[in-house]
Amino acid sequence: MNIRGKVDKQHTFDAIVIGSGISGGWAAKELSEKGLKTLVLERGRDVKHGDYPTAMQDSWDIEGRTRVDPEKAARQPVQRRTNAAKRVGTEDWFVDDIDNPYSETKQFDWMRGYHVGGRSITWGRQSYRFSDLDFEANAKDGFGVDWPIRYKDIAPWYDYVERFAGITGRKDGLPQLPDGDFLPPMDMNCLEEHVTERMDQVYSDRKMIIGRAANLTVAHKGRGPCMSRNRCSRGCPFGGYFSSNASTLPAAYSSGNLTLRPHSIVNQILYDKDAAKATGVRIIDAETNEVMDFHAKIVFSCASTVGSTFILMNSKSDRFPNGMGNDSDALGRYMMDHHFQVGASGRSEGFSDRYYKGGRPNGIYIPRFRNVDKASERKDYVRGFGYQGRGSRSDWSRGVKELSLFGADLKADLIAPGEWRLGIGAWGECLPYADNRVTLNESKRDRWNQPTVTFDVEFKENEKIMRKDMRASAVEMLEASGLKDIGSFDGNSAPGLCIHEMGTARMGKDPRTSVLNKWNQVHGASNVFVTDGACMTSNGCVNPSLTYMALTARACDHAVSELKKGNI
Amino acid sequence: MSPEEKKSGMHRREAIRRAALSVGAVLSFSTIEALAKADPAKGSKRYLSEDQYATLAAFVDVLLPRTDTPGGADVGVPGFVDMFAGRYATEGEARTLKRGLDGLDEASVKLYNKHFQTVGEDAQLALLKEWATSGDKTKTSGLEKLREFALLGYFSSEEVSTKVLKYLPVPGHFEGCVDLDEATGGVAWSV
Repeated sequence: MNIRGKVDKQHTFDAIVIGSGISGGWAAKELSEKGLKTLVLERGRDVKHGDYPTAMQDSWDIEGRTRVDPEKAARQPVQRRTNAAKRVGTEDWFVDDIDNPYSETKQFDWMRGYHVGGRSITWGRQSYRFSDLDFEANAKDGFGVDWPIRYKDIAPWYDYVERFAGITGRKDGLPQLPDGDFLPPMDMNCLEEHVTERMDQVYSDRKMIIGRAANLTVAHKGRGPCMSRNRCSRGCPFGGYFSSNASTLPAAYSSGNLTLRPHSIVNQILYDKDAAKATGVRIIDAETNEVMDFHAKIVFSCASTVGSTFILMNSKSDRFPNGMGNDSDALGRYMMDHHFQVGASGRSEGFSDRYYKGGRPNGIYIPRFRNVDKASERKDYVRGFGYQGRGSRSDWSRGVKELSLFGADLKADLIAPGEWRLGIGAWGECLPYADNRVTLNESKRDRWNQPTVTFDVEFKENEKIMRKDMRASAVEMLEASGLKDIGSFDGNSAPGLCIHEMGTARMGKDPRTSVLNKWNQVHGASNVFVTDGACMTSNGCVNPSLTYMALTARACDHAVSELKKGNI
Repeated sequence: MSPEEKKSGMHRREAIRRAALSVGAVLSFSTIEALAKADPAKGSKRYLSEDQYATLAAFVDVLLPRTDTPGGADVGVPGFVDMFAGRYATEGEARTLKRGLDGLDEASVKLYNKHFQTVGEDAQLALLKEWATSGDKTKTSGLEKLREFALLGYFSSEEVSTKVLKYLPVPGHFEGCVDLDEATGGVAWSV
């Protein structure tokens, strides 16, 4: 960069937060509420709560009804690898692939949302706590380094973020899935209740529970309640679920201490070798290409797993020739994602006079039951998986393949709800492998002349063996529950597709093998914190966003306390 | 924009704003603008040939005739399928659909010496049922694609969604296990 950034008062803050998704929104709220003048830098456009253009559209308001405009789709060949981006009305929350290229040594599906709120608008909202089963996993089986924290360190912060975010759920009393501070649970439907009862009769080691989700079953902190439209991923004008836009950013604005700058691509974190601290960040204005510097006492990188790791890798200095905090060579390594798209479904012959009312933005959950204790130990693989699923009555599309049904008979049949079906799909843990990594690609440049990234990530033996059990156990449970015509599937997901990418700047006890310490501080740059998915030392099998929220709030508390003590 | 269009646009904007407010939704100005401008009924050129379109219209009449509920033709299904095949279908899908339409017409001419659209309902049904059970992939895939697009056009239309199925855009809350007849009068939810 040959343009020298301006250093003036307007460019100086107490804290800089990179990114405005789930983690960045929390950092913005916590730091600004603690009195720090906070600058949030978001690389994409601004989205204020209420800026949800498709939220109230009905099918007939959309020309393609269920299909995305082909001109838009042509610019999203990678994003459309996930059904989430193919769902009409959500496509504008996913990036333009032509403008945001990357490279794949092996297929890696990198799903991004570059706008204020990030993927907190489109996330699945499933919210589960990690347990000590997860925090102790690496130490016990020897894959990956030990987490520097245990459940007791994060538990009060789970309480804290749940109380603000609002998580619906039931206290199930399961050690592998700690209970939280929940809003009232959502209903199961008739078939789900029936299968739950059958599973209780058949199994002592596994349970079907109602999902825990960041949807508000009652009005909460001036938001919601959830209207049960089940159109969350278009953005919710009712504030019925947790997103940065509806929840944390309005709180941060209310503090009077927040400045949010959209279209601000952070190119690197600036480092002062003598002070052994960061001094701020260098950004590129995405619209004007202007390069400028902003300064602060602390920097929170919440740019998403790969976003944060890119910034650290691109923050090269005499002290850190291989990227900030990368004395260990762990930066970019140990990339994980959940492997999924494997499970089973079947139909039920009962409940033909029963139905449900409303669209429930949540499903059922079968918590992990493998390798949770001595009795459930597997000889063929380590770690485990959980299932998400739902029961429902089939819709009119069942009529497509009923080729002999025509006319009045067809109409009468399809106007009524179809048979009840229940399906479950497993989400499996992935071990942290050193050679599953993301690297900088200096030769392939983006439109702002920055390096891009290359993924070299694959699922390996442990995951492949686990998948066989994920499929077989699904069939076994549905059969035991009395469902008929059970079919199983293995969609063979590539890493990234689950959109739970984690690791690449892991926390650890030892600076020689990790990038971050137990407070999410970068080794060698103690005023830089990374609190998004990059920090994860292992990935468990539950959805991770709630853990990012808790780790972020915890790190903010520590940062401000250290700042006050003059330690950073 | 003519004064009438401008007025109706203003009216639509205001209606959307009021509807949103009445259910407690927060919609920004830009969102209301986008909604007010949404106009799915754009005029455009026909994608299918005249013959293909005539066969399609006849097919839709047999598949979705008017009964005590609207027929496919009543809610614009042929026009929708034509537009959808031209603009939203993949090339492969469009090819399958056109091959199906051409094939139906050819078979009708061959068997009855009449085009599909004029051969009469009994013959149309007989031909369609013969195709359905033929086990011939060319025939069944064409039929399937026609059914898929026609049923989509029908069930996602405003008329069918709001008047035939049960339309409840803002349910308010979720109830897991209710009596079907009490909840909807026995029909499916449209959304």
